[in-house]
Amino acid sequence: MHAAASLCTTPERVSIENIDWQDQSLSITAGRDTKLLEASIARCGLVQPLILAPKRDGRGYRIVCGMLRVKALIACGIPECEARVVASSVSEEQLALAALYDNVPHRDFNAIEKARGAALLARVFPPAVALQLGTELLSLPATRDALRRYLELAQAEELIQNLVLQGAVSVEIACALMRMEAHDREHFISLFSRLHFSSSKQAEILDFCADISRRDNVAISWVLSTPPIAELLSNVQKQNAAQIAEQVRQHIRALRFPNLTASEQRFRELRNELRLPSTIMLEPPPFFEGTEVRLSFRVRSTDELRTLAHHVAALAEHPRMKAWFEE
Amino acid sequence: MQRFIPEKIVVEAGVADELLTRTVLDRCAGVSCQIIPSAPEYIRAERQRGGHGFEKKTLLLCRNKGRFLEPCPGTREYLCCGYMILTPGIGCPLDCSYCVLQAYLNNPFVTLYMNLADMVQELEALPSGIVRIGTGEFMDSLALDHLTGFSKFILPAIQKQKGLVLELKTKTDIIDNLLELDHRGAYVVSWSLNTITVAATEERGAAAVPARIAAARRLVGCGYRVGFHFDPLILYSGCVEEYHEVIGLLEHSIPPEAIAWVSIGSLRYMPHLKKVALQRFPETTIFTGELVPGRDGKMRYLQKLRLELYKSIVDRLRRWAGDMRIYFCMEDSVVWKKTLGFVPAAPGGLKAMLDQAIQR
Repeated sequence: MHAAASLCTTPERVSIENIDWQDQSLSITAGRDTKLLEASIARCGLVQPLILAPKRDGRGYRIVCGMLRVKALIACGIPECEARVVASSVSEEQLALAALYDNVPHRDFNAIEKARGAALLARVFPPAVALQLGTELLSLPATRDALRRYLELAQAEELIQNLVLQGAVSVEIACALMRMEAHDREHFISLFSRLHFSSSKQAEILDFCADISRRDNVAISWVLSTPPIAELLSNVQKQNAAQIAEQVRQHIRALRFPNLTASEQRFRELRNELRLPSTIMLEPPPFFEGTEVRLSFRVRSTDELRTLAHHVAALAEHPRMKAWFEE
Repeated sequence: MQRFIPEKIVVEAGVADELLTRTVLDRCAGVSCQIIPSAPEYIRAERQRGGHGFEKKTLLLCRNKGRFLEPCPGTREYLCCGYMILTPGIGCPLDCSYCVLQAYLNNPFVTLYMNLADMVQELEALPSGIVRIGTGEFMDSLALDHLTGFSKFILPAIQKQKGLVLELKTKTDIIDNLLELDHRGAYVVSWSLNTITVAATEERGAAAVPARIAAARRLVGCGYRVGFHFDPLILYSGCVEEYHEVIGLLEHSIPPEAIAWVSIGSLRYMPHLKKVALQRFPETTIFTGELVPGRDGKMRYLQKLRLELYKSIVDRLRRWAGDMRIYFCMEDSVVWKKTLGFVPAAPGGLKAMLDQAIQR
């Protein structure tokens, strides 16, 4: 795995026409524009020569290092450039390492680049070596599961990869979307593109929808077409997006946990009927396990403490409060 | 039900000459057998190989280097019955979709410990007095009894100690060995029961519910006391009628005086079980109920729903036999009070209640 020596060839002039930039087999670059690079080339020329490998059919070259530079050269209308062309005897493993090491020192990889890097490693190295190099070069977690997820992501359709690049969904959510039927996937891609949820809330939404799907024998995206949610989604504006996102989440949760949400609603009604001052907080037991409620309060003086004692004593006699404990 | 025969037997060299090992190998004549130097190494290698699932067709015979007897861990938050767990092996040839072992066993094989003498030594060291022990925690107590004859081998050690009672908890009808034993009350044989639907869809490899009840009936005929565990109750539309139907089957087959106890518990599991189980059984719907975190961190049905189901089952059992000894597995005082009308004294009240049922 010592690639450097065999890649050190003398730079030569190569016609851009002879470079097959559509061959992405060694490229990991994703989600980066070439504007800065174009400006640099316009002012200083190509500072760093490309590294190219002869194509197996003898017709031109594959890009080992310099995909962005080639795109920038094309955008600048420059017909030829300096490149190191490696010998055709250089192995695919060496080319893959060169492609990765060319980027490692000077940029952080985004998730899609990591996925493409993982796919490149998995294509040319045995699984254990790919896992080790993935950790070293791409900062992937050192687990087979993580590698599997990134490999899956590398296969994702462009729409999903773009969502990942935009930070709209995490790698895990992207993989979950990929495993869905196309029709369901479209619905969730649309949901996550339009409304911002944290990654854990997205996971929760998918989990709830999957449970509802299994429970009620409906499509996983069925929930999103139910009246209150569909209506909410049709009214998304920039200014109300956060509010609608939370309402959508609550509706999905209520469909998943109808009895739990009914209990929560009943407890809210109980609190309203008890007419407690804002300094006294009454909370149900977590998930309504048991009857133990939590009573907390704020006081600033002994007078307030006396008033509080009066309220608490009244609470103990309130028929609704008694009913709660006896229910 | 079909009796389990492994496709492969792996024997740790150190136990090759043990009586139990020879018994299993005799009864599995024709099954391919491999001798290995170390079971832990073998398990590690299998895990590194990346097998994600269970190798339920491979039977591993090895030495238990740890303890055979441990108190049931229970939890502080819910009432525990003070049970002792005897571990003759881990892993189970049955394959229930709700089985908690899926989430925390790191050994993919059905594993049996062959150093019976060490187990007997631990049993002999138990304090005198009533001790209820059970083998059904990490495997089905009888699913491999046709291969091991464990119920025959261990009986003298149980009988030797006054007050010691072994509960054999099963979902099978493998009772042939038990029929021949002069047990003298040393065993309570109990069956986990569920609705016919749940048994058929979620308890792969287990006997059908009527077959379990028929097996219980035969043992009652041999003077055994039996127990029934409605655990884990699974909530679904129509489940109440189906649980009542199973109690009806019991009522027609088992005299209530032969029943040592009936326990009731509902589905509960550490949260990460769901993911593991859904990978193995994507078609199961048992995790779609209103399961929320309990005080011990395990997922449980919302208490309100548990109470409704428990009340209905307790009422039906009480209609059959008013003095049936019913207890809850891992429930709190609210559930006891609201369904059975009393709460066992803490600590040790539930233990005393069950110990009373098995005095020999």
